[in-house]
This record gives sequence, C-alpha cells and structure tokens, in this order.
Amino acid sequence: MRPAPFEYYAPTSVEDALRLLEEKEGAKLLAGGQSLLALMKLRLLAPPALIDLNRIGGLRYVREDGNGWISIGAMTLYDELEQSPLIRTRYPAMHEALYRLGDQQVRNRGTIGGSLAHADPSANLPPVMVALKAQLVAARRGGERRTIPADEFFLDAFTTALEPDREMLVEVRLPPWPPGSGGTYMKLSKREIDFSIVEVAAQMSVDGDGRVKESRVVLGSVATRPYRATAAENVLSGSVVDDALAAKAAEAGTKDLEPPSDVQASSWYRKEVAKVLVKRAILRAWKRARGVEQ
Amino acid sequence: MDAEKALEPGAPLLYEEWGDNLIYHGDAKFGDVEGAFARADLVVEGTLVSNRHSPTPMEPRAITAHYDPVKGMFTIWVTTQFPHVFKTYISQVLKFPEDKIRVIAKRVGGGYGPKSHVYPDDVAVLQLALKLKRPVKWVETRTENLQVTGHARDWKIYYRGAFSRDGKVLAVSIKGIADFGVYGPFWTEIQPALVAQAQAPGPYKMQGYEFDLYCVTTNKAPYAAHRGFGRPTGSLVMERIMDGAARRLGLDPVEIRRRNLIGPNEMPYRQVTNIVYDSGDYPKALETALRSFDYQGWRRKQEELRRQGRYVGIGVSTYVEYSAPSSKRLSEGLGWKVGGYDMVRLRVEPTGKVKFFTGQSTQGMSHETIFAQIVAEELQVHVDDVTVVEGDTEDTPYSYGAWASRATVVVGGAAVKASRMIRDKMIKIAAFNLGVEPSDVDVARGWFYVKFDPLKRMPFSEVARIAYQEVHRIPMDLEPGLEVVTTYEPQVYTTASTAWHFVVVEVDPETGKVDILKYYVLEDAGISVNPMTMHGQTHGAVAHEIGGVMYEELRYDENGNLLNSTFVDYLVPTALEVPNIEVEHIETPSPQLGGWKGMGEGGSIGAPPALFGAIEDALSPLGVKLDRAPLNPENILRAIRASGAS
Repeated sequence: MRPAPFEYYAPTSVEDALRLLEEKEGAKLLAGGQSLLALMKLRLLAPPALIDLNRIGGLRYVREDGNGWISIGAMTLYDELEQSPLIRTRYPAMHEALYRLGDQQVRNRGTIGGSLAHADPSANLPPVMVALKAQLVAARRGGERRTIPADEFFLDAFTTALEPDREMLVEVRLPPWPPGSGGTYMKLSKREIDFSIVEVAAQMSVDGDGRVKESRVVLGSVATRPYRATAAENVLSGSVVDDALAAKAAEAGTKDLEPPSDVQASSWYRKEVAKVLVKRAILRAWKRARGVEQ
Repeated sequence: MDAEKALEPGAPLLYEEWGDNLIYHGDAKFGDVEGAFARADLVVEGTLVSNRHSPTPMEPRAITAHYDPVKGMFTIWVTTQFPHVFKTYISQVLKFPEDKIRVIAKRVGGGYGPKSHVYPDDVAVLQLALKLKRPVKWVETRTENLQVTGHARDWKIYYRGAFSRDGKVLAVSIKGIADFGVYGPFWTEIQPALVAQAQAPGPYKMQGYEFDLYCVTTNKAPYAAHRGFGRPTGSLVMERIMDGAARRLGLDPVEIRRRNLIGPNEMPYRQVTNIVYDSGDYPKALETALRSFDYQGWRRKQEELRRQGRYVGIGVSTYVEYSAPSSKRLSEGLGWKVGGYDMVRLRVEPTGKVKFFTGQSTQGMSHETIFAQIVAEELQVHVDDVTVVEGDTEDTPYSYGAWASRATVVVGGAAVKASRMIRDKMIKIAAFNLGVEPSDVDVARGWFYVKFDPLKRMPFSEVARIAYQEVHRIPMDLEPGLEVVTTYEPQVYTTASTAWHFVVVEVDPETGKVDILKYYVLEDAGISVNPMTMHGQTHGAVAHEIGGVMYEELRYDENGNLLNSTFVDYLVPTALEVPNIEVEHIETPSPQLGGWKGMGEGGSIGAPPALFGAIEDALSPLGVKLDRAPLNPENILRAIRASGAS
C-alpha cells in the first residue's frame, strides 16, 4: 500500500514546527511514525502535509529534576526509555509497559510524545501516565508552555486536550512517589507484539503496616480513553491488600465497564480479563510497594 | 455466510441456476460400519469447528506477462508452483498455442498450496497483455492476498467413533460440511475436501469407515490448496476421536493409539479406504518418540505442577501423510488428468560439470540442494559441481509441479534413474579406455577405476571430455555426448510418511491464554536426503499450524466483508509465540528408488490435534472439552465457562 501524496516539512525548532502547524491546514506532526505512517499507507489518513519533528534538537532526554520529578523529552524513543535505569527503578509499571510495547523495531522508532499525542485507546503508555499522575507539557508559539495533568489529557479515542493546530506535546513530567510505593503494568494480547486486548496499570503507596495510602488503577483497551477504576481504588483505600480484597476491588472496579467488541475479542471477554488483570495488578503493585516482590 | 445454514431449504442461493448451494455432495462407506457401531462398547460422538485461515507466504502472488508480436511468443513470469501446468491451462483458457507460451517461475517466495492454482486475476493480466501488446505486471498486496488467496480449513464436522471396551477403534463415521466460499479454483477444486476424508483413518486399523461430505458455496473467498491439503482437517477429527475415547475409557492417550496401530509386518497395508501405504513402522516410531520426549517424565512433572495449582497438559498426535500420489491414485482413482510421474533432464558437460533440469519450481524447499545431493551421490562427483536448473518451461522437461510433498520422491527418483543411465554410459567409456570390461569398472569420488586394480583409473572429467570430443575413444555402440531425459514414478500406490507430535502447554484458567512449554516431533519420511532442510520444513510446518490453530482466523461480518485483511489484525505467530521445536528423524525406507517419502506438509498435520489434546489435558481437572478452533484465549475461556467451572 502507498500513502496518498503529501507535502513534507522538517523544521529544526519547536517554534518553526508550531508555525507550520498553524499555517498548513490539516497538517500532522510526525514523530516516530509507528502509527501515523501505517494509517497513511492504509489510506485511513491522508493528511496534506507532514511536519517531521525528528530534526528538532533538545527533545530527547530523561533527566531527574532537583525536586524529585523526572522529565522526559517528547521525542525520546521507547527503547531509550526502556533502557533507562531511572525509569526502571522509579516506575516499574512504566518499564513493563515499554518492555511489552510492540517489537524492537517499533521501540527503536516510536516516541513517548508520539504515542501520547496519538491517544490510541489500546496503546501501552496512556494508562501508565494516568496511574503515575504524569504532567504533560504542551508548547505554543512564542515559547508559551501549558501543563496538563494526564487525567485531563486523554479526552476520547485519538483525541487529546492539545489544541488542534496550536499546540504540541514537548515534555512528560513524572512526579516522585513516596517511599513505600510500587506499581505494575499488565497486558493480555494474543501475540506479544499486538496491541492489548486489556491492559492495566496500577500504582500505589502504602504505610508501614501495608495499608494503602493512595492508589491508582487504570485500564486501557476497554474504553475510548484510559479508564480509571476509582471504585477499585476506593476499596483499597486504607486497607491491607490480600487475595480476597484484590478480587473485591477488581470486581468493583470493572463492574461498570462496557468494553468494545472487535475482531480480536468480544466485550464479554474483555470484561472478564479486565477483572483478572486488575486483581493481579493490585496484588503485585501492593507487594512491590511493601518491598516483598521485585 | 454459514455453510450449514446455506444447506437449509429456503436458504438464499449463490448461483440460482443450481437450485441449491451444493458444489458437491458425496458419501462413501468402507467395510462393516453398521455392524461395528452395533457391536461397540463405546460410541464417541462430537462436533468440531475448524477455522478458515490463510497460508500467508512471504511473497504474495505476482505476475508479469509480455506478448512479443514479432516472434509470437507469450512470456509469463509468475509465482507458481507448477510452471508447466500453468502453461497448459493458460493455453486452453486463452486458446493460445501452448508451444508459444513460456512460463518462468524462479525462486518463488513461499508456496504452501495456493500457488498451485490459476486465478481469474492471473488470466485478466494475460488478456490485458495480449490486447495491449505491452508488458503488464500485477503484484498482489498483502491485503489482497489475505482476502482471496489460499483460504482453507473452514469446516464443521460431526463425528462418531465406535470402540471396544479395550480401546480398539472399530469404525469411524464422519459428516463433513466444508465451506468452499464462491468456488474451488483450478485445479484442485474440491480435492482438498476429498483428501480430508481419505486422511482420517491414518495409522489405525479399523473395520469400518464412512463419510458424508458436503462442499458448500458461500459468499466467502475461494477454498484453496493449503499446506496439508485437507489432511490437517482429516487427522484433527481422527485424533479428537482418539482423545475422546481415551478419556471415556480411562486410557492414556498414548496407550489407546498404541493399541490401534498398523504393525510393521502388515506393510504394505491396504487401509480401510483402499489407499495402500507403502511402508512404515508406527509402533517403533511411537516408542522412539516416547523415550526421546520423556513421556513418563513429563507425566510425573505434570502431576507435580498440578499439585502446585498449575494447569499443564500434554498432547499427542500422529498421522499418516500419504504423499507423492501415483498416476493410479490421481488419474484413475480421483479422475484427475494429472500424472504421478515427473520428467527430468541430466547433462554431464564436457568439463565434467553436471546440470540437472527439472520442470519444478522452488518456493524455498531447497530443491537446489537436495537434487544436487542426489545426483552428486549417484555420479560420485562433488555436490558443488551439480547445478539444478528449474522454473522455466523453455529449458526444462514437463513437470506437474511441487505439491503433495512429492518433489523429493518423484523428481529425486527421476534424478537417481537419470544419474544411473549416465553413470552406466560413462563406465562403458571408461572401461573401453582402460581396456577392461564395464563390469570391472566403478566410480568413486570423481574417478572411474578398475575394481581389481584401483590404481588404473580415469578422472570423471576426462571421461566426460572424451564422450564429447574424442568420439573414436567411445565404444561403437554408444552415441557421443552425455545427456538423458527420463521419467520416473514410484511403483507404489503412494509413499506414506508418519510422525508423532508431543506438546506440553500451560493454560491460564482465568484468561484462557496458552503457553507452549515444549514441542517435540518425531518424523519418519523414509531416507533423509538432507536432515537440515528436512528439519527446517518441519519447523516451518509446525509454526504454520500453531498459527492456524491458535492465532489465525479469517473473520467475516454478516455482509461478507473480511474483518481482518492486514497483518495488524490477522495474527501470524512471531518468534515469540513459536517455541523451540525439537525434531528427531527415523528412517523406514520406502521400497522404491531412493527410499524417500514426502514430508513438507507433515508438521501442519500434526500440530492442530496435538495442541487440542494438550490444552484439553491441561484443563481436564475442570472437565473442559474443546470443539472449536482457533484455540485462542477467548474460545478457551468460553469452553472453561461452558464446563461449569469458574
């Protein structure tokens, strides 16, 4: 398959990219191209212009800020993030999501900013961002920056809070979680390289007795945007987690789900698996928070 | 869209002039079926749904055609498994003189069956090229390939098996409804369905066998040849019956199979279907496999893991792959205008280098290696000195092509025959020059030598040179030159390979997800020409049907739209899903030239029933029965729920 003809621009600064985005009607930003190019080849998308962000310097980094936050440049590759010891030790949920993202070829090209701005309801990273309470930094012309909490960033399938034609994602900021925190990411897919049928990111912090202080349980592939299972979080709050409690939380957290049916799985199956994965993810996240499991 | 519903009275008709949706209905009964069922201590009954899937060759179809009006030549480059048959058929369809058609099919990127067809779009390209008198090229996209090329295995089957108390199978009865889509393309049409029915009895002795076969037309893509050619379906049913009977009788699935095997002393064996197996030692193959796989060890380990709450299961399957069918089977038995022979040309050049010409074409089965090996061994020259030429109708003899795992058996046999003809002639020339009788001369490692005086010898290349350049040094009764054309067809009804597959799986009972922990295959395809390429074929075929039975499923909506026509949603397993496959080979030679038996399709016959059995065994504490492929997580979870376990 071949894409429809398009114009191609390769700006070297964020400012130029934003100017082009404003000027070229219907233009798309090209990051790693792992979704966009495939959609164009299938002619599901035919943007008149592509603005390639790969020549813009200074958008590929993972660094720890003084206050314990971690900042990630939007053009940082999945592979670079997967290899990052900082991510692996501080945010195991994110490491697992990256490790299980596509195949090595995809991880060599795909970027965190591209994935989040694309907002595929089955992508690995969006639920993780919500679970970790990430902050997403959008740039506008003139050096203006706006910070959007991950909770408010994903609006619908393939739709984000970024203002069309005016904003682009430049940075992801991850807050520090206190000592006694842990998290995990789990997905079920038919093949390892596939988009998930169901995925769950769970993150929590516990007190010295193992009681849950704060938790976030977020599902992907079950709705048009990351689904926060707040009912599960409420069950966990203030309790020590065991098998029965995890099952109860999973039951509560997935009760209202109405997942989609598609060629890979029915709604029924997604809901069944969601329950199982939420239960397992809660148990593992809690054990990690307690430091009893890697 | 549903073949069974299409048979109901009042169903919408695809071809109104037919009056029904039946492409073919046929039944056959062998032996005493009723008597066997009447005497049976146990009757196993069930249904089986197998999923339509595609063989997904690496290279989709492609065709380029060029008509040269000056020479009147029509040259066609096409991804075909049978260049000569393609030429014959195209000549008939286009009413174009066959001698003016040249078909070239060099190094095709994977065949797996569907490239032994001629499709309407091929013909359209050819017509266009003739009309425009310009070269026309068409390359199938992956989406087009998934939409139309090579669909198969789309069946619903009702089966019954009659057993005695001690686990002997008495008779089997199968009603098969095969969804053929809009038609079965040239040249196999409904043959894969007939083969599926003939395949079922496999290595088991039984008194009675019957089938009732419905080939139904629906609004799906045409049903095509696809690695195994109906055999995977036939063996899957038979092995499901064996597993079902074992469970009901409380027998180990290996033991029930062991009790029913045809013995080595009964070969050649006329199966209940009247197909005659040439050779085989099924019990020996089983016992070898049990030792190598460590069946008892795995059963112990399974017990241990079950106590830890893990759902681990062991699956076993076997089959007979009757390959390289003879003319008797093809033209007399099946009524097909097809020969079971193949023709080759062999030339030793004046330099002593060897060229072997066959009208086959290769799709990656290592023809270049194995035919060269066979010729090199017969002529006692180095394998690098033999060049295999194939895939061009202009410079190769007529051939029926590469299908039915036949190339090694038929073309290999012809290679032996041709090599021996040339070798005998060269021995006569060498003897003439060495001053001895031909019976005193032999050839080894590039030298013709006198048996009783090995130092009296001539290089192979020198004898070759003399044959062309010094006619006075050739015996009077011989013609100059070293080139022969010959045909060969095995003098058996069919060569019959066999295999045993053992697989260990672990199932997640909460999600239905399956992990393959171990996969072992014991293959007996007679003499092995090249173990490395042979194991490669087994690996490929097992991976092929791990995909087919667990991951791949062509799904249509109610309006006949294919829902998964890209590799994003049609899931072919990757290296992460296909386990390490251990392959062992034993050799029970076929009683004919070379002793080989075909095996290229075998892995795809054994894998589905072994996986069915293993997953069912893993879930046996929950009483789960599986009757539907693909064995994907959702279908398995549904089966778990249907068993009443939560």
